[in-house]
Amino acid sequence: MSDAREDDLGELGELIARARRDGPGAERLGAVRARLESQVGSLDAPPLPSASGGAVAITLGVAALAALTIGLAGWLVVRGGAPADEAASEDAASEAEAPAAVPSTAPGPPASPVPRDPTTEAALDGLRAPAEVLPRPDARGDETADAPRAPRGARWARDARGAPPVGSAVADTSAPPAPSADARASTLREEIALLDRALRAREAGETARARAALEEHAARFPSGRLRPERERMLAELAAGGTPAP
Amino acid sequence: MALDRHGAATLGRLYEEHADAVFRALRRWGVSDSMADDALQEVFLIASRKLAEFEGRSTHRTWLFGIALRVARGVRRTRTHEAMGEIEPEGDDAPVDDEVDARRAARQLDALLATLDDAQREVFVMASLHDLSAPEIAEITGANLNTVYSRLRLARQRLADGLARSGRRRP
Repeated sequence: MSDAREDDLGELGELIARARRDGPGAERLGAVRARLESQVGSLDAPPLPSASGGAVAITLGVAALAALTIGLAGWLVVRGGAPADEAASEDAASEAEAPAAVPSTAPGPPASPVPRDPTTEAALDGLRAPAEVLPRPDARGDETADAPRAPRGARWARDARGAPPVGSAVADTSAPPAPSADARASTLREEIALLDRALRAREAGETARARAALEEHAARFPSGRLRPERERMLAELAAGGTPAP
Repeated sequence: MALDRHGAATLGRLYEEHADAVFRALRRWGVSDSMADDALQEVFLIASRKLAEFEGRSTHRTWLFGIALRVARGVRRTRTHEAMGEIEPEGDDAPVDDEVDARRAARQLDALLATLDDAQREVFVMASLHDLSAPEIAEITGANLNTVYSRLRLARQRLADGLARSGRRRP
């Protein structure tokens, strides 16, 4: 309220300016905080894995997945062109998703380029439940403002289902047809683009835009292949935004 | 009641950023020094319970001030009459350091604020000591905007008159 500042209040303003210097002091505030923590638990930020290491891992993981996707698409073409029927497509998808369970000479991407960190997972459990504790950015990133978003409840419900089962080389004929390899590659490209956008925004210090891109990824690909990277970045943002250089 | 890790980190950040301002506001709203620590703790205890319901429609600062205002009102209702209106006599010409000067000024201001009714006092403290905007104050107090401006104008007038009467104009 600019018209109420002490500059405009004459001698009363002078008194206010002097009184403003009177405060409780750090020691007193610290004592109250200690009492508060005895009731609600520690108020310290949860420990997270090295932020800079996480960023490098994410970048490498995204690049590795992109390379594997290109290799997989090329291998399918060499093997006989695009799959002629859904069963062949299902086979290819199953082989690609379960390299450990099904012995195969086909190149398959690893389950995740970044090993899951139980600490981060635990932190993310905290992030998810009351995820809207922090104020949601009013002005979302320009390019994400119009993006379709799933209802929040549906989003978490889908997330809770987890990833589709992998490890079976036999197509389940009762299941809906799996997307073609092209569609899967396209989906992965979209995932990469979203995480890349989040990375760039974070590097530019625009945490709101970074978070918006990650939330868009979560809405569109709740169990996407880059979900571990998304969750790691969300945890890093919650811990303070940009990783240490 | 334990917060989850994210909630705890958020509350910790809010405490670091706003505890000092909340404490000062509580004092200026009439919470005695002896009650201020408990009141501050109560504010953040309530915040910890309500954190999951915070939807971001206001700033965290506005939200916390809203909680603090209600805590201060509760303290005012339950306290016995305390000596709030006495202006502490200043020492003769003894030099004072900044800390002592600030404390004296705060006591003098508290004495002047005690001459206001509670609604005027609440508005004046938020506007003039904590730079909250009129719409923010309206949101916190539940009063309409014109009422906020009116209370602020009356508070200023009464405080200026009180300061003049105290005969403590500075050269």
